[in-house]
Amino acid sequence: MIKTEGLMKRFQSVVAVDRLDLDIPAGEIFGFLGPNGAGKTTTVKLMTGLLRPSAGRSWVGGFDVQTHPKEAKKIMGLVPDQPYVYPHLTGIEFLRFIGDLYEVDLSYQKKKIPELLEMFELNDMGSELVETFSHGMRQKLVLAGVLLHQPKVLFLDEPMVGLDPKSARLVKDVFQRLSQSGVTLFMCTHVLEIAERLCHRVGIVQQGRLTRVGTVADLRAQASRSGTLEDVFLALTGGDQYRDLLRFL
Amino acid sequence: MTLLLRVQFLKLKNWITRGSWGDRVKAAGFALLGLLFLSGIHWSFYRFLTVIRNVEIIGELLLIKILAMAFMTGFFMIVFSSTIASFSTLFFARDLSMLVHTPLSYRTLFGFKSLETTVFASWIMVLVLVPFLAAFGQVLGQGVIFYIAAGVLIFPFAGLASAVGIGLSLLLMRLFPARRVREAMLVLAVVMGTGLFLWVRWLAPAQFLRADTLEFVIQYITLLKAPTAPYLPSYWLAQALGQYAQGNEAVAARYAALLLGVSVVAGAGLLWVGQHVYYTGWASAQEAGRRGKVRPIGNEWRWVPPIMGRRFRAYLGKDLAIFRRDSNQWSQLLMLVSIVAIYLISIRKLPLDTPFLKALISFLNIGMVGFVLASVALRFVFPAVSVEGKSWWALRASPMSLWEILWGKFLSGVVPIAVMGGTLVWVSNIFLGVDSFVVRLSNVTVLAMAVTLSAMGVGFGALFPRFEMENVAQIQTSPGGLLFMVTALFYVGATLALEAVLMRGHYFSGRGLIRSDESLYAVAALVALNASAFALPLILGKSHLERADL
Repeated sequence: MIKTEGLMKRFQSVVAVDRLDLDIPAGEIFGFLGPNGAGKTTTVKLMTGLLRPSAGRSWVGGFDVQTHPKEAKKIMGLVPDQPYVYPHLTGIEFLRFIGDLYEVDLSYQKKKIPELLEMFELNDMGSELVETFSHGMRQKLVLAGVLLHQPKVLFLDEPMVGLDPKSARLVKDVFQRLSQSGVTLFMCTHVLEIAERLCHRVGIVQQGRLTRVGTVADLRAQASRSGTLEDVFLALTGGDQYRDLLRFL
Repeated sequence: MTLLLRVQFLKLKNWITRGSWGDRVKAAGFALLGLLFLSGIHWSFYRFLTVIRNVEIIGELLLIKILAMAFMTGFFMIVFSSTIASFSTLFFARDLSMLVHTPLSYRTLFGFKSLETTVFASWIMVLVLVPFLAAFGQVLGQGVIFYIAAGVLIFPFAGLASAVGIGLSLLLMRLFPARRVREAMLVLAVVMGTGLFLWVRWLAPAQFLRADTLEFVIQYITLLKAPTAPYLPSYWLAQALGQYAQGNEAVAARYAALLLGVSVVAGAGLLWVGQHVYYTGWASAQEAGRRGKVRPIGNEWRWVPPIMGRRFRAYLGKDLAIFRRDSNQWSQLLMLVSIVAIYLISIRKLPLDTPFLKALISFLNIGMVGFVLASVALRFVFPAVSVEGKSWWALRASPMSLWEILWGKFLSGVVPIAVMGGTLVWVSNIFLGVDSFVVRLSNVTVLAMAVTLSAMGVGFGALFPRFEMENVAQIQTSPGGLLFMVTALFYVGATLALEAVLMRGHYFSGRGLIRSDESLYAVAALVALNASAFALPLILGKSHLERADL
């Protein structure tokens, strides 16, 4: 459902994404992990058509994102790392805007928008301007917008940031339900516990290069480490070097 | 304060030193273009002021009057810009929520934000005054002291104008509860409109053109000698420089001292007031959220005709809803209505005694309408892409193509601009009593200008997007905005120059469009000019949005 071949992005002398090859089947939740600045957000931008690659290609649902962007974008949804939403629109207006952009049937929107607002506990805020929403409320509004147009592929860049525990639990359940119904999810996250619980496979990216791909069990084997995904991740990315520094605190 | 200023300095330093070679080449290109533009302005001012200087008896008096008029215009423009800008910089700036929680005093914070507002609101006006003052000094043969005095005095002048604007916004935030900021902006727009009217009344330009209506030369000289709003800092600055140029150094020093003294007192007074009321205003602005009306779902884009199609209707409806709720934008619209009214009144009062003068003014009217349309495009069309702001991702990730996004921006710009241009040229043509050829020529030209300038506005806006900017005024005064305005004025000038060929043929023959090689070339050049000015910025803008990491 998501495929990349030699996908690459160079910003002047910096290679942000380096020859990325991926193949993610329908219904899979794929976790994309890596330290800050590893190239995760840039990869999402490349795969959603927000950025043009320096080399390589990517496909969503069989459509080349560069040559057939309209067809690819019709079946994908994006939750960006920062939930920026037009501050001068109301919550309902934003959802209507998204619904109409994706040409969702009006009668379906009339039924679904109140349901989504209720599900995310935003029903009291639907007529408020977004400028009054908290970070978490905006995040939930963006998620509601994505669910409204029923995408086949979902790109999620840190989708849990800012959510309260109840909403986070709800969102995790939603992701699992979507995956069971055949939706493919590509999720960048720093919350390794979520990746461990939700993702069928994970990929670890470092300095733009995909260094490891597989199930959590595969990665444990590759790292020759037992324990949580966090331990495995730190072992694979060299993240436990800080232990010496802690002595000085 | 030093620390905050240091941060600004470091931002500037990093911008200069850390940019890529491409950025540096671009910046150098902008600087070169800016210098060329300023040289062009200087040349035009020099020519104009030389002609004025050579008018017998009253030449020097006229120059001083023009100096006072220029400063007064500058004064009101800085007051207007700083009032609009200070709402954003003082009360709604993103960095404030962080700065307020630091150990900085409110006085320091207010002082820093006021300084930032002043720089932001006055730099263009000051930049335009530099070539004007240089030309003025050259025409009157002034030495280095004149230029030093002008360079020094311009700062308290701009500071004083900005202090008035900042004081006005403090007052409005104090008078109105936070949820009524929109109403505050409406009051502000009315105050500004009145200010504009008073400005035109004080300047009374029609009286200078109608010198023939004054019975004696002495009466005209008395009019010239009459002070232009003597209680305004613009008059003090004009007197300080004008009197110095005429050799009255003692009088000049008095006015310079007055300007400096009042600006110091006003600055200190503003700081004192800000220290006491600023925090309350900022805190209440944080609660300024408004509740939209509860309406049945499906009725959101009722202002846009359904013929536009689902996707496009939502897109245009969204833009309209945002425009309606962004008081920064529509308060400028009210100002614009005042400018148009003043323009039409001025046209009506113009003396048109000879057929040549009538033909000349009718022709120049097309250019003036073009200039107004270029200003409107700068205010409303150029920022159209940038005002998507950080929500740009929602559009780019959607199935809307970049062409559709730009086309929507063009459509929502061209309709009001064409209506405005059409109305302006229609009413002014009635006032001027022009013949049918000029009516047809001006109607077609203004329609073409509306279309081309709207496309240029969208194209330049896409080529130089500023998604990170917090208000439209910052977008308009960005280097891209400046480049758009220079290009738009060049386009209007080129259109006028080519149409002069057609107008000359009509004037001498009285038979409308003359079939000659000259006319044919002029029409072909006009078509080519419009086609390229329409298409090139759009193509370049689209290509930039595709490539950039936004």
